[in-house]
Formats: sequence, structure tokens, C-alpha cells
Amino acid sequence: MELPAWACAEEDYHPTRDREAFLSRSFLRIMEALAALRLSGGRARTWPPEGVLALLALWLLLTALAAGLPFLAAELTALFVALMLLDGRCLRRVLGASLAASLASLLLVAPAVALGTGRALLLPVKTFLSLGAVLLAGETVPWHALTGALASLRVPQTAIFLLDTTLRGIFVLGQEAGALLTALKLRSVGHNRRKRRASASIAGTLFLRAHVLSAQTYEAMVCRGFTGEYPRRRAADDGRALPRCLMLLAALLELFLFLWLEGARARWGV
Amino acid sequence: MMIELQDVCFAYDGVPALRHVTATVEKGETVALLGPNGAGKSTLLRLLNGLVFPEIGCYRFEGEEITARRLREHRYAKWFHQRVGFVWQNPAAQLFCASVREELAFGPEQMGLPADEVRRHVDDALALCGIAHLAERAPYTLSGGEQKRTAIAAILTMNPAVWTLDEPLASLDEAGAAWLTDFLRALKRAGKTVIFSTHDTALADALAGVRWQFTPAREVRVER
Amino acid sequence: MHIPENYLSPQTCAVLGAAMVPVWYLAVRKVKEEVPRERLPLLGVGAAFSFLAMMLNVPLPGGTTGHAVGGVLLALLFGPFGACLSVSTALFVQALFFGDGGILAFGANCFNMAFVLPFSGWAAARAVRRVLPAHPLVAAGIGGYVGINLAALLAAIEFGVQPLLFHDAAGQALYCPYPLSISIPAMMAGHLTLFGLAEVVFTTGVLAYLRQAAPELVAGAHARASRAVYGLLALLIAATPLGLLATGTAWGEWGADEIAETADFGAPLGYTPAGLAEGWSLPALLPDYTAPGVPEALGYVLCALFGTALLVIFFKVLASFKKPHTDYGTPSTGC
Repeated sequence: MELPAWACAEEDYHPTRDREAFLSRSFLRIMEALAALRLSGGRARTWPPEGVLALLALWLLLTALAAGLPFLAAELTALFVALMLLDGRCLRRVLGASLAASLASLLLVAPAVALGTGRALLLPVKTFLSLGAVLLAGETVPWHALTGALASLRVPQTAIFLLDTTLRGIFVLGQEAGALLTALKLRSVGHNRRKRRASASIAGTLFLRAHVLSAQTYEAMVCRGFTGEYPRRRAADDGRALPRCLMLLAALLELFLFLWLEGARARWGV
Repeated sequence: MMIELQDVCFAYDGVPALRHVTATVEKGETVALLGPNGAGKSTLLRLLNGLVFPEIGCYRFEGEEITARRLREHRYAKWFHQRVGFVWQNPAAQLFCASVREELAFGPEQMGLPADEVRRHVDDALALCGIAHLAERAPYTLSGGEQKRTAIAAILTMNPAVWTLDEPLASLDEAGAAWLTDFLRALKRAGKTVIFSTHDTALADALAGVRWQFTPAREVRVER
Repeated sequence: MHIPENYLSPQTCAVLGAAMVPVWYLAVRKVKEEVPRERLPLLGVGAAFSFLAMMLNVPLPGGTTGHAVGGVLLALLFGPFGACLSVSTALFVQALFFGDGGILAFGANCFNMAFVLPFSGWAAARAVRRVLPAHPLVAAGIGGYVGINLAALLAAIEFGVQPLLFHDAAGQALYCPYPLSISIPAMMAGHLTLFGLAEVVFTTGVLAYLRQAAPELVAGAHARASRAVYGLLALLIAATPLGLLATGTAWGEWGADEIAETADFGAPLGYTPAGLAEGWSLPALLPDYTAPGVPEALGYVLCALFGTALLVIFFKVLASFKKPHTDYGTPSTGC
């Protein structure tokens, strides 16, 4: 094999100026999202996922129902105490996302507040509480355990299957998107006249690959005896008694605080 | 001297991936990275490509230290990425264009070569890699081996001075492996610097003048 | 000892705030250099200790109240600069969320409680330690006593110079109305006796417990906060409602509506100083550690929990920005 003459010579390349801020930034975004998903994948399980899900559902329901600040303040305190026990980097992700979301909803209700509807201020607080709790659950219990737990809460099988494959797809695709963008960056050695085209083709490639991937996943599952049904998780395995009791206690406390503080608000109008 | 690593240490989240790596690569040398899985070969290749940076120690490319700050300079970064080409272990991860021809033209177009020059590069590379009949196909519809050749051709059109290849034999059949050995030999004859990781000692014996043996302690032993 | 809004003239606040800037700068640099990433969240736990100590009010016969600060304890555990940072953060949370100590007076409060208190107490404890090397707890106790009294003295002087420097044409004070001859005895009477004792008890008590339960923390090793430490925090939080038993207002912390009738150490003032009546103040989220519509004791505990969690979270997030330290060992020989 002989290389063509141009390939044998040394390339004499002097790049001109072109800022790739657009590419680098989108690259970083994807990498961050990917890192978040990767980290929540491999945590050791200590909290029973069914309990976490049930508690989360109760939390979201009561947060949505609450109409006064006292109960929400109590919830905020509880959320902060739970967050306190997280590791610093998880904390940053949870706080960052929920603060950003509540800031956005604050902007949304700003006109209402300006017109004198002080109650509208509850919305950003509720946003923070709900999103914070959901992300906290995501950090404490890995995704696959959460979807597994859905089965024992009698969620329809099709819904679980869709959720499960979607999450897995997002995870794998996130990884591939990161790799593709790195490759693009390494070869973006000059003036890029077609940034939009490059990123569009990355998105297109990803979409097509997602399609292939989900078909492959389904086939692999069928080959291993999947018939469209998730087995129900066996209840009450060993060594889970204490966390279960704690979660039950937390749920009861939450309910009690709701009834008490919201009831007091309704009766005495504080 | 092309590449100089001096007491390079690197860790992922506090877990060391490379420890005290000291080695040099002369211009035109061929280096084989050998060692068990997870010994740090891929990490070293990422480091050589300026995707990660030493936590301790330094990495010099043609006398210039490669740091995150240096690569934030766009002009230098572009020049550097043109000088060093990277062929990934999973070729699918590095093909992002709509057709094989576009994929190959991406690099030289970026470098601002005139249109006829780009065309010549692309046609030569297509022929050399034996994928001329695939030119109008979309890369993601190709088989693993074809994707590998496309990925290599896409780097070839940029004509880097240093080639880094992560497990180049992976996803190639016997004929493909023979072709790749031939291709690497041609690169060597053309005076290119080639650094590749492999589990195949035959490939290392056939090509490499220098072997970097990765130990489980994540260090590197240089054998000439 | 928390100087509220408008008790000090803006000029005084500006001077003391400016004095704190280099201290904070040095503290941040020192902590960045010297405190490893794993130990940084402990500063948050320390700040929480201090925060809770300041919530546990002690009543003095005569109607005023006071509290320990815990700054010397932190100085002995994390060094004076670490203590400065911790106490400053705790004071910031108190000023911002609970209206305890003014926002404008934040610099002055930090100067007293986050700078003078830990540094003087730490120096005193070290001096005593040199004389009595076998009794570290005695040294810590003396350090705590010295620290809190020096801080109280400074606060009293800051209060006391206000009527001398800032008054209107009629001779009525604009800000704090009490001169040095009243403010110093009033502040020191409490701090030389009961509040000083509270600081001594808090410092030596927590230190003795930690030496037993978490010796690696006291020794300065790369320790994480253990169960024992969080347990003590929980105990302190549960105990905070005791602070409600002290019903009076601390000397120098009356509200603008209270001050005209207050008769501590002297005749009632009879007027409200102009700077106090018209001064600027930021409405606190949970003023005086009470949440609207929540029973007082529960509100107090909730506030304690909230503050503690906030401080620990703050330092944990801070630590996560620091790069982890990797031990690469030494290269193996012979290659």
C-alpha cells in the first residue's frame, strides 16, 4: 500500500480565528446531563424504592394541596434536612435544578405578585419543593430500581416498559451524544461554516440510532424470556425493616403536619 | 522530540487512572500501548489528544505544554487537533455526517483547503481504504468494519502528523486486520508518528519500535 | 450580642465592615489552602453548632437574656480562620432569614463574634495550654470565657460611642442612646457572669464529648462528620425550645417600639431615637425564629433545623467545588 503524495508530506496548517463557543457550550451541557444520569446509576440501595415512591407521591400531593405558608415552610425544612445528608456534588445538582425551576416560576407569577396577589408567591415555593423532592428521590434510589418498584404499585406493564426503555435509551444515547460531540470537536479544526448542519446531523444520527437501539433492546429482552410482563418484586426482604419503619413514620408525620397546620390555617385563618 | 510526558498523573474522581508516567515519543516513531483492560491505555490516548489534562506532571507536544488553558485558545487548539488524529475504539461514536463522502470532506473543508484539493483528498482516501463503493451511504447504516474504515479515512483526509488509535483491530475481520497492518506500515514509511493501543501482540511485533507496557499499578514501562 | 439594624450609625457599620474584608479574604485563602476537601463540610457542622448555641438563650434576673457563641470551640477544632468563616456564615443566615442582627450591622457583628471572639479565645487557650499542658479542657474553658467577654466589651463600646458621636440638635441620640457609662456595665454584667459561664460550659462540654466520641475530629485528621457529631446536633436542635424559657430581650436588642419604655440600667429613655424610628430594615423571612401560624416551640425547632441544614448544605456545596485530592503514591522503582 502506498499513501498518496499529499499524505506523505507534512501538512502546513495555520488556522484562522473562529470562536467555537456555540459548539463547546452545547457540548458541555450534554456532558453535564450525562454525568448526572451516570451517577444515579450505580448507587447502593438502602432505601426501599416502593417506599420512596409512595412517600414521593404523598409529598407531591400534599404540596400541591397546601394553601398556606406554615405547612410549606415545614416541608421546606424537612427537604433541607434530607438534602443535608447528601454528598456535595449530588447536592449541587439537586439544588441547582430546583432553584432554577423555582426562579423561572417566580418570573411567571411576578405580574400576579405585582398586582397584589401575594398568594401567587406560593407557586415558586411549591415548584422548589416538588422538583427538589423528585430529584432527591432520583439521587437516593437508582432509576432502574424506581421503575422496578412501579410494578409493585400496580402501574400498567406497558407504561413501565416504556419508561424503562426510555430511561435506558436516554442513558445510552447521552453517552453516545457525548462521544459524537467530542469527535466533532476534535475534527473541528477550522472555520466552521456549517455549525447548524453539523449539530443537525448529530441530532439526526442520534435519532436513528435510538430507533435501532430500542428495537435491539426489545429483541434482546424477548430472547431472554420477556413476554411483556414485569415480575412483581418480592416484598419484604431481609434487613429492610428499619428503613421501612422510618419511611412509614415520615409519611405519618408529613400527614399529621399537613392536617394540623393546614387545618389551623383553615379554621383560624392564619 | 514530538511528545514528552513527564511524571504524568491523572485521576477520575480521586481514583488514579495514570500514575507517574514518564515517556517520550520521537518524530516518526511507532508506539504500541500494551496492558490489561482498564490499565489506563484509553485514558492516556485521551490525554495525548488534549481531552483530559494531567493533574500532576506535564505533557509537552513539540515543546509546548498542553494544558486546559492553552487549549482554550481556539487557534492553538485547532492547530493541535489537526496535528494529532484520533481513531476511536467504537467507530460509530465518531461518525456524525449524513454521508461517507461528507464525513471524509469534513476535516479538509474545515481546514479551508480549496475545493479540488478536498475532492482529491477524499477520493484518494476512499480508494485507499477500499470504501469507494460506500461513498454515498450514510455512516450509521454501515457494518462495524466499514465504519472503522470510514473513521480512519476521515482522519486520513486531515493528514495529521501524529496518529493515535484506540484498539484499531476491534471490529475488523481478518482481511480488515491485514489491511490495517498494511495501512499503519504505510503511515510509518511516510514518516508519521503512530501511537496505538492493542491486545494483539502480533500487531505490536509487526509494527512497533517501542512498547509501552501498562502495569496493573497504572504505571508505564517503556520497552525499546 | 447581635447588634440589630439602626443601633449603629451607617458610618460605624461601614468602618467595621471594611475592617472585616481583609479578615474574610485571609480566612477564605487560609481555609482553601489548609482545610482538605473532606474536612470542609465539618466547617458547616461547626457553623451549625454555633448557630444552635446562639439560639439557646439564657435568662438573667432583671429581664435580659444572652447566649453562648461557640466561636472558641470552632477555633480550637478548625483553627481561628476556619472559625471566623463558620461563625460569619452562621451570623449571615441569622441576619438574612431570622432578623437576628442587622444586615447593615453584619460587619460589626462579625467583627465582634467572628473575628475578635475566636482569635482572642484561641490565643488565650493556647497561652494557658503552654502553662497547663495536661488540662486542655481548662485551657478551652478559659479561652471561651476570655473570647466572649472581649467580644461583649467591644459590642458595648460600639453601642456606647454612638450617643457621643451621633445626636441631633436637641441632644437626643440618633442611634443607640446609651453612653459608655451605661452600655459597658450593662453588657459586662451579663457576660462576666452567666453568659460567660454558658460559653465555658458549651465549649468544654462539646469538646469533652467530641474527645470521647469523635477523637479523630479533635485530632484534626481527615474525618467525616460521624454519627456522634450528627447525634449531638440533633440533641441541640431538640433542646432549642429551652431557649424560649428566657422571655426577655437581650440588652441592646430591643425593637424600635420597645426602646422608649425600657428601663434597664437607668431611667426609661422616654423617646425613640430618630435613626431607629425611621431607619431602614429588611423584613426577615422568619423574624425572631417564629414562623407565622406555627406554635412557638415547634416554630423554634423548625427554625433550628432549617438553619442547621442550610449551613451544612452551604459548606458541602462549597467543598464539592474543590478538586478531590488524589494520592498517587511514589513511582515503583526499577522501570
